[in-house]
Amino acid sequence: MNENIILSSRVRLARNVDGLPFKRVNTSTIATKAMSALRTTDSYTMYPMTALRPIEQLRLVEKHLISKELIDCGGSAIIRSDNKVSVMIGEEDHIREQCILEGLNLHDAYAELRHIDKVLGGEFKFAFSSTYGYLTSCLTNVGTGMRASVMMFLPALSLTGSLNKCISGVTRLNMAVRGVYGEGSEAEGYVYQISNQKTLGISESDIVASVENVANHIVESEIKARAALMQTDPDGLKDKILRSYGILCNCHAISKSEFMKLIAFVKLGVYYKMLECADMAALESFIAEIQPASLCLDTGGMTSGGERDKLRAEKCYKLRQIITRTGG
Amino acid sequence: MICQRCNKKEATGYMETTINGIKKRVYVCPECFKQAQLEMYSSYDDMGLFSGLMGVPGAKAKCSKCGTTLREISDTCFVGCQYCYSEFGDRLKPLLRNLQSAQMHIGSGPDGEKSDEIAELNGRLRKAVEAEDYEQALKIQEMLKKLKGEEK
Ligand SMILES: [Zn+2]
Ligand SMILES: [Zn+2]
Repeated sequence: MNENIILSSRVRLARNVDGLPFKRVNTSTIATKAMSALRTTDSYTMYPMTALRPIEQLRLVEKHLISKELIDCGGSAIIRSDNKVSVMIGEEDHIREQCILEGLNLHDAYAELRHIDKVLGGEFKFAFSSTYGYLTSCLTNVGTGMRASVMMFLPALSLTGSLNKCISGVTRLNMAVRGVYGEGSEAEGYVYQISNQKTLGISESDIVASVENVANHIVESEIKARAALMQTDPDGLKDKILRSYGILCNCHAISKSEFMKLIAFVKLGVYYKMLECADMAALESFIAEIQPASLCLDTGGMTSGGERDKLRAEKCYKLRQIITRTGG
Repeated sequence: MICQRCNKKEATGYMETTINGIKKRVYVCPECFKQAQLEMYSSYDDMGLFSGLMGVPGAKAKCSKCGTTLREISDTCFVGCQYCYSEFGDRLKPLLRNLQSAQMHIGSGPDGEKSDEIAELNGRLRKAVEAEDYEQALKIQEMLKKLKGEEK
């Protein structure tokens, strides 16, 4: 049942064009060149941030296709039509290649990126030194320029209060943990991202292996915590899960934070087989659709918070098609 | 007695090291003794540079290409251009050691297969050192030297 715990895997490579300063450089020519190199291999679309409305920019962030920093820097995104590969131009580094795949799949994500990296490496000479590896704007990325991360759904570790212990253990292994949705320390929807911190003095395959290893350990702890949660109060838990499902399917207006809390219990319900979900990926993209910017775009423009909450509730009606109650 | 560092030559003396508060006596050959001294010296040197950073001299040094100072780099962790890495050279090493606990790239490079090979050898070298198989480590180092020499 790993797909209920590890949502997605992402690998990112930071690259810079040899000879250009890292800051205050016009990256639009880099974007055009990168686009023409990439489009010979597959179907890509370029999105210059300056040509997008703020709401369209945010939607790309909500879909994990670009970073907020790219918007601030006014760079461009080149996104493959399957939404698995995106190349950001003019972020902290000139070029950032990333690949996101479902489930625990860092190996394939990296293999995919190596191909992209070769294509772009044919177009540009990358700033590289044999001592420091790929030279990056921030010292925390130099070397491989590689960040491998997994997005994990960890409700039971959070609810049983053992997440902090888990996080401090992971931090000691040179890994970083952060909440994916929401600001600050409390992660909305119990979704966390675990990634490597070290990029220098470690090979790409060792980074992949170490993140995967840590992710697998956390999966084990989460499974144990889920069993413990069930054992402590089975009736209370089942009630909470079914009520969450009931509210989501039958509300008139719902805020994002309430939605995230309830959907977490619905996902737990799928894990415990109290609820049935035919397509977990569909559920995840449903959650992305419910985020504020995506909701606004669907209505064709900015809407007020109150309007959004009603719209969100309306969309939640669709949840019945993705998730059903099991008998018993 | 055989040297406890290289496990090859005859030990002629000993060094004392403190690991986690426990004093340990290690018997070494003259060569390993020299090597150990060198390592100790270089780590002191780094510390010296680091305290130099705090006390400003050197911190005002500017990258001739982009004008970023060493102070700015140590405050923000951001360099201004790729040449900052070569211009500040060894003075970045204490920073990198703090942030990355490493000072050398192990991994692939833009030149495809050869760099993959180097990456693989580097990985094997690290494992050999971890396993204290110094004979194997030496062999791998030779292979690396050859590979890197061909590069030029
Ligand atoms: Zn020796
Ligand atoms: Zn510079």
